[in-house]
Amino acid sequence: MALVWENLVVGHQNRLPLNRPFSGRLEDGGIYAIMGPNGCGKSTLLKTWLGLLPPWSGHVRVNGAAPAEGTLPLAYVPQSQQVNKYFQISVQDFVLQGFGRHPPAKAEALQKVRTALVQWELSADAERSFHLLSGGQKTRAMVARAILSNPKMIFLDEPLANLDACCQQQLMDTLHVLAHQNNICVVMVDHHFEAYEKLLSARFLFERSHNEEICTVRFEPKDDTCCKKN
Amino acid sequence: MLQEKLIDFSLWQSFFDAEFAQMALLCTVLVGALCGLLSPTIVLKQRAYIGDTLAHLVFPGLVAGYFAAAAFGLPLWGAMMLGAVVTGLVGSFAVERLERILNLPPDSAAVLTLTGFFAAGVVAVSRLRGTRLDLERFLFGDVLNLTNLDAILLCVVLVVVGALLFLLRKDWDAWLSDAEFARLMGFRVALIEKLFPVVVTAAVLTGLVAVGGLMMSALLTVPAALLPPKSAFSLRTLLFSTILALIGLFAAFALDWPVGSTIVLVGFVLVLAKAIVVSLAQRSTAAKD
Repeated sequence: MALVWENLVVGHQNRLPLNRPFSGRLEDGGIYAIMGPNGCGKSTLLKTWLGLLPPWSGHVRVNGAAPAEGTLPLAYVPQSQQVNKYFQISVQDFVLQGFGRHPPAKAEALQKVRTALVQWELSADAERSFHLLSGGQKTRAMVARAILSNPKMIFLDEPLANLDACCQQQLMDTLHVLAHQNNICVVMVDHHFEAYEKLLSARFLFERSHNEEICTVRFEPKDDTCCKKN
Repeated sequence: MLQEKLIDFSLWQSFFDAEFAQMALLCTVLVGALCGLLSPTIVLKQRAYIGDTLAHLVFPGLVAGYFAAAAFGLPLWGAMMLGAVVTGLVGSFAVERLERILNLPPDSAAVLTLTGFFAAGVVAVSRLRGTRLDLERFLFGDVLNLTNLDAILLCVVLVVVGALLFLLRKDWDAWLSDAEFARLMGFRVALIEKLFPVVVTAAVLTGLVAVGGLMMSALLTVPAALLPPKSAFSLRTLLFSTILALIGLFAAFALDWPVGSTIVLVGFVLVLAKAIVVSLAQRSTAAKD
């Protein structure tokens, strides 16, 4: 599975673009970090790659076609405040949404969800409202939901922000296993990679000098075999 | 005197022997059930102002219908209802589009649209000098003057709305929980986003004639405010709302108060009671800590 982008500029329509055009390709398993200052467009790039936002200009292709809703094995872990805070959905039902519109048989689906909840230390909270969880528990529930459907690419928006050091390590270890044993492409926006630099396959750095409004996205591969820049 | 009235069963029996009272009872139950069905979606999507908004959005449609009936010899009631449906739907879509294109908060987009539409209706009415137009019925409702047609329309809308919420409940739930994730996972978000204003407009318009737009806003909000829903399709809120509507109807009869307002007051008292209980429970927990 390949994510390819050409002359991509991201940003909301009717507003200024957030970056200069850049091209690239993500294909093989690995952990790819998107880093940069606040408001530079990291989350917008993530959503543009996922097809949730149209490119400001340029093209994004997944397996040669424009990203289409629900047709690709992509998963997304948004920031927890994106989940409707008024909806008292139980943790179990929340994670169950990770199967999408066509879950397996009910018993099998529930068994898989319970296994995921045990793995992410949430089994005692299965019937609680998602919004009664702590920030770290919410992140773990969202990761459990995202990987339930066995995605080929997983995109995470600041997943480390609400986690303590122990949970950060657990999440990064799991993502490392997914990336290298299951050959999943893990793309993360975050500010907390200091302790995990050695786990990263490559970095996308949003950079701008003081007198510039628009960022340049610089690609920093650690291992040229896993990620290529066009 | 109130106590005597409440326990005088012959008085109740004679009241509900009257055809208009039976129709009021039936339509109140239907409006209650309809509002209970839609309440979780309305509250979770933060669209509680939708009933009030629609009551104003349909105003120019009613006036246009009146003009059309006079100009083309159409049945007055049908032409006004058609006009109300058209401006209600157009206005609902206008609210959603303004919100997205101008990146406005939903309540600001609703207020801008409803005042614009209402102003257009007022201008149109100013051209109808010397003509009496009974518009109050649409704004404040009249549960004691409902017809078989109102009951049939309410039944149809109730069944259709119930079926759409039940059959697509996973899509509604995913959309209400996290619309972007739902879209990515292939839930029918595009369909739900088109259905939402249509379903709400149909429900509010059919309820308008019974209890009015302002009362519909309250009836759509109270059930989910009192019983926080875990799904867009909630039998708890449906049942609660139906019982609330019936209690309001009986209280209105016993106290000789307007039906719609009495139902809303009963709901509001329950909301206040819940707020007091929750507040006391929080203080008690804080004191123990």
